[in-house]
Amino acid sequence: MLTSQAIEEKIPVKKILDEGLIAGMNVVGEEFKHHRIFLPSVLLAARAMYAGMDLIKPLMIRDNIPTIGKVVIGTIKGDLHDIGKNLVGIMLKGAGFEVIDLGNDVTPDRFVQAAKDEKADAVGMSALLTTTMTGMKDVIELMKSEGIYGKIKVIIGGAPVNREFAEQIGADSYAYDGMKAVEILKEYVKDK
Amino acid sequence: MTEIIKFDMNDIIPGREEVLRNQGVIPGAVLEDKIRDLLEQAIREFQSLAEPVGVMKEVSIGDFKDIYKGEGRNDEPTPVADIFPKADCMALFAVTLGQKISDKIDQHFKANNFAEGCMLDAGASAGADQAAEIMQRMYEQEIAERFDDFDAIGVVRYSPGYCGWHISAQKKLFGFLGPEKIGITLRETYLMDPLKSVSGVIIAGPKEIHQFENNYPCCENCDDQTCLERMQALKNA
Repeated sequence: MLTSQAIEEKIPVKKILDEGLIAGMNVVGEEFKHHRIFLPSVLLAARAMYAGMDLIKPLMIRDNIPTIGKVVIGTIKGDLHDIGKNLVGIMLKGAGFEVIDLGNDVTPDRFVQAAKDEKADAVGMSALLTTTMTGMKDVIELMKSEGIYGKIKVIIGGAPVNREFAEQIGADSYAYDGMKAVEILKEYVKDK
Repeated sequence: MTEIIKFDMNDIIPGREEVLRNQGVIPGAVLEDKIRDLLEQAIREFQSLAEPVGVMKEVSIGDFKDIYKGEGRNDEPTPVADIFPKADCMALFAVTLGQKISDKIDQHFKANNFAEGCMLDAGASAGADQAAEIMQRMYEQEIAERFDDFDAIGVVRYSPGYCGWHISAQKKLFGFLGPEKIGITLRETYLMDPLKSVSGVIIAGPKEIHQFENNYPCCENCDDQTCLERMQALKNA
């Protein structure tokens, strides 16, 4: 509703995006971070954000407005649990990133190929099982052999994963939830 | 003997607090009406879509040794490897909520109804765990009369994919148990379809066999406190 109104009033698309939709989600993110609201409320806000994005997407393409960054995400090979990964994707999109979601049960080859093809800024991997999380290292090793490690940021998350594990396998960052992932990646693209 | 178990829906409806807790909502938090409505909608969807069914079959220590070994990809050592040889008896199990509920979760996400999808997903995860818990209690009741002092017996379930027990063991577990009978199939990557399914082994033996220090290799990078909570609950029981 508000987005339609802003479009009708000929407010620049970039302004609608940055000062309307993304700014709104930033407020939601802060509220969530401080436990004043919880995940269901964030997701309701995300739906509103998506509805607004659907309206301005054609205008963004028309005006050649870039997203703030591109992230390839997926749940690691052998793992079907993708709810956490989906939430990260929703929050990244809400923050203005373009998200290439490879789904679940993703092989190292697919992660690396997509990162190269899409010229991604970052790869985000998720796992729920303690026995599949080790597959994240395989992706990083393949990134090294393909010469893209260090050029594309690697961020990991999921219930059994922690900061120490991220360091051990050579991931750049660990995010315990979607909002943290947004925070880390926003800092990264800002410094890039 | 293989038992097929149909559950009473009332027994597996997830607790509202648990569904919220699964989404990080602090117990006792004041919720907006919208969130309460979402919760009630998820419970109604759960009731109309879940088709809970389970299968259970006793297994000898000898047979389980091979099932546990799977494709030889387990960590060494693991808690389960140390526990099962000391068991008195054990049973393999699998439970599922069926495909419809997973399909509904996917539909919600595809329609950008993220909050509805997440709420139902949290409810379905809690419901599947509850069904597994009921299977465990049923096994407990079945074997109780075999023991003179059942109070000293601890009955705990463990699943491939956790605590260093590699998920590839699912293949042999499925070969022995046959969860296909209740509509659960195994993917090449050893994961189950429908997604809201739980499989594993229920191990019964002296309570102390289930107690372990969390210093196994698999514990090194694991923040999950479930095993510790279980051990504490067993001590207090």
